Amino acid sequence: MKKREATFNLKRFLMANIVPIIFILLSAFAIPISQFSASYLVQEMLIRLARDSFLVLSLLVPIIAGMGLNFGMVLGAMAGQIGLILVSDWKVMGLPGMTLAAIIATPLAVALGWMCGAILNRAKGREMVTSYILGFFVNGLYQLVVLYFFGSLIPIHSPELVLSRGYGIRNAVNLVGIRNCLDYLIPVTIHGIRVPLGTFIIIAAFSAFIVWFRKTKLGQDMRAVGQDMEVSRSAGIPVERTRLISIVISTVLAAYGQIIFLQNIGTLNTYNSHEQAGMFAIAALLIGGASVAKATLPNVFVGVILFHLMFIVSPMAGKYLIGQAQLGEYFRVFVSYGVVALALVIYEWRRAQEKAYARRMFRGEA
Amino acid sequence: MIQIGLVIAAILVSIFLYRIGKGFQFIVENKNYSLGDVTFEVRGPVRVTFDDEIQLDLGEDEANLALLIGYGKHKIKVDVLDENGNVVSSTEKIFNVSGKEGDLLSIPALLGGSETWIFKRET
Repeated sequence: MKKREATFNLKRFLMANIVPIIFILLSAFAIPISQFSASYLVQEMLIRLARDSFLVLSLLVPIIAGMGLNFGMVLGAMAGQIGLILVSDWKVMGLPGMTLAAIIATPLAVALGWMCGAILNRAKGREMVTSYILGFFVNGLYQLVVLYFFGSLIPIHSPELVLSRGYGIRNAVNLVGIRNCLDYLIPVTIHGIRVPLGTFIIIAAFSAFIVWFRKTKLGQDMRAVGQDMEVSRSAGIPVERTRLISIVISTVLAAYGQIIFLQNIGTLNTYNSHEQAGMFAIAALLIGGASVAKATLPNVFVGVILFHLMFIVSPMAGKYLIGQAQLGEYFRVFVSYGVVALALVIYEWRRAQEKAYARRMFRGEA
Repeated sequence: MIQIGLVIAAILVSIFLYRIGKGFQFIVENKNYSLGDVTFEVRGPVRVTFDDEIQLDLGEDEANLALLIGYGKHKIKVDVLDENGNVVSSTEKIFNVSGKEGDLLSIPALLGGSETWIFKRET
């Protein structure tokens, strides 16, 4: 009996963690083939962990509130980028520049998050696809502002930023003034490996905030809303308001996450950086073993490590294995984004099964 | 009331961050500089240090860029060097950066005792 139970648990564990296990196996296969040294991989992983973790963490709050994966986080990313464009024009350097960008981005992210939350409250049950399409809509507005309003309605003085026609922002903005200002705020080097300690401290503080937040009244309300909206409403929880707040928090945090991401990269791709932010963060979270309905802090960090490990090793593994780096990269893209599709399908399948089970229970057949 | 207080605090913090983080780029020039009838001549290669952090080595008739961060007072130290790189003389000054004084910093004018040694570039 005990043996059967142990086997059952192992099976359940494997089923629950199938995605990270596949990625661990793929990495274990690809790392030796890529021929990268351990120190190089550790350095790259530390940089990428610092770069992406905050963005991925920003996805947790809407999942707690049962709103699924917030594809609308790109709205926050756009707000962060507007802050960065402005501080680049004003030539505000270093940590003050980065903090000022965050302050500028905050009201924009709150407004966009509020709009997104209000729309998602009218699209209950279809939050993910709605927020995904909303991202495209706001991307259009963002492009209008950045391509036509900046330099005309909104004064931009720096010739390095403005297109030669006199208005609109160039494709690439050099963030040399704030590059790595947070990452290496506290310079730490261990065996030749530079540790972006400044960003890790912020990420640790934010993780602690998430743990604390779950225990607060609002956090508990979000969990209740995430489990059952009707029961929560009956219990006196303002369901719509709670859901809206979760999206506002996520959007604001995504704005900060994008600022941290770009200070690590050092270059802002004005018209594309935000588009990738949502998909990369969601893919990383799912690879970490999260689902649409449940995500934890370990999912975030495991996901970021595995996702980026594939990023680093797959082109070189492809090169040494098949002779073409591009094939390894295609494989990574295929697997990484296939995981997003698979996670969504599995979630819907499980939900349909649970509904069918509930109906059978109701009829007394189960 | 709390919201208004937060907005005011955010604005004040933003102004503070802008003032301490604003970057000013200067062209530091070690070339002869004429100011009216007076010409300040180059005294030799120099080592220019700003705020004990940014260091520029300039030969005769050379120029380079320096980025100073923050409004307010900054320190400049100019060491005139001989052919072997030894310090012949040293001059230290505190100056104020407000963004209005110009962006051309003439080392010969500074060493020559001119009252103004930061100028607006002639375009």
